[in-house]
Amino acid sequence: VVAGGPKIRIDLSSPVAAYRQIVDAIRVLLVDEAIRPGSDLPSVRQLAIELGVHFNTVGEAYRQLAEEGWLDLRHGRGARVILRGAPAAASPERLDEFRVRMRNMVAEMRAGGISAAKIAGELRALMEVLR
Amino acid sequence: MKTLAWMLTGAAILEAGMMMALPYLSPRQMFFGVRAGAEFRGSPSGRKVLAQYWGHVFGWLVVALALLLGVGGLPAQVAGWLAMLPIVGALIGFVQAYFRVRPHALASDEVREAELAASDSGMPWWSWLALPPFVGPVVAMLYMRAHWDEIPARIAAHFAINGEPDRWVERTERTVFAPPVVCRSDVAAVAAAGGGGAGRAHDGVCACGAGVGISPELGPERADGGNTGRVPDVGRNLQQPERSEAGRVRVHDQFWECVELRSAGRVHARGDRAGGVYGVGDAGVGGPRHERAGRSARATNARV
Repeated sequence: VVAGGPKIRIDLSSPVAAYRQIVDAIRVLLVDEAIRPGSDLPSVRQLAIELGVHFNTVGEAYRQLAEEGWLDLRHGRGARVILRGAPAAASPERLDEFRVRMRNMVAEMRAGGISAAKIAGELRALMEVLR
Repeated sequence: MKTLAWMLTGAAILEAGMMMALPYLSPRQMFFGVRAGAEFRGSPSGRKVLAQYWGHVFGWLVVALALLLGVGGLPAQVAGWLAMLPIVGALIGFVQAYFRVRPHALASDEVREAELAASDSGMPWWSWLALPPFVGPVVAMLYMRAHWDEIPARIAAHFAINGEPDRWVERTERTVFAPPVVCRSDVAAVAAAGGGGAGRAHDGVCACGAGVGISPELGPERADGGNTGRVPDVGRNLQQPERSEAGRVRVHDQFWECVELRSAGRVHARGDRAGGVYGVGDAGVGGPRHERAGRSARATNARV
């Protein structure tokens, strides 16, 4: 048993779907290189039990990460982090999609009483971490 | 009869041992069918529950052995039932342990955390010892299949209290193979109780972070198509939005009590139940259980 690995956290009361929270949390760890290529992730069954969610929820999250090129899913071997090549430049449509999401989030933060300067600082700090 | 008694004694001991190992034959999070966390079984409370369960099974084993070996002249059928006592006792003990562990069950917190490291399934290496009770009947069935012609045409199907057969059946695949299957169904049921339930009670709320239940499917496609705006790849049955403006669309005439619209495995829109105004694009809500890729979209009830 490997212990002391990075942890992910999901909030089931969040309006964000559980599978998306799992995808986002794992992606952050991958980008941050907290999980390196060659590492094995927990099996779908194991992670579903740990988080108390349906197997399909974790399965969907893994499939999405595999589609993004982060994971290699092979039957009977679980999920393995693979070396991801440099992603192609985002298409204008994809960039637009990101922009909409970011704008919604920034608007939500502003509505929540966070100043523009604070938001900008948070984004800069985040970029430093994920660089 | 003495040989039978000894054989049944061995069977009773084997069954008792298997039933004692039962609490370990489940993921670490589970203990006696309760999601109590991986640490609970090693805690004083967990050890106490386990000791009580083992004592229970052991007590029934002692009773079974005392009756099997101490009382002479028992009919074969009675002796056979006595050999089953450890299983019966274990079932009772399991239920008792379940109710003892239940107060220690992890609260169904909305915020959950998991370590992202591959590990084994939580089963001890000696889990394979649980296989013989299941493999044994299969081997017996294969043996009987290989020696089919040696099986009598009439088989005793029931025994009277004096051990004499009082009902016979013809030799058919059902009459020959059904008993081995049925005789282990009790163990399979207990094993399912011990390891099952891992995903219990979560199905309704977890696949979609915000959803409880599934509302009716969205209405049919508008004849005029409407302005699909920025909603891509909308499934055939997804109601078309009436108009779009600056990344937001209003769904035509009906305000569905939903937070998401999905089709083809993607979230296309989300909104609130009050205004019926939906953001478009990958809204980031919903879960895979609501998909029927390429055929329809569904709305998920909002929990407000």
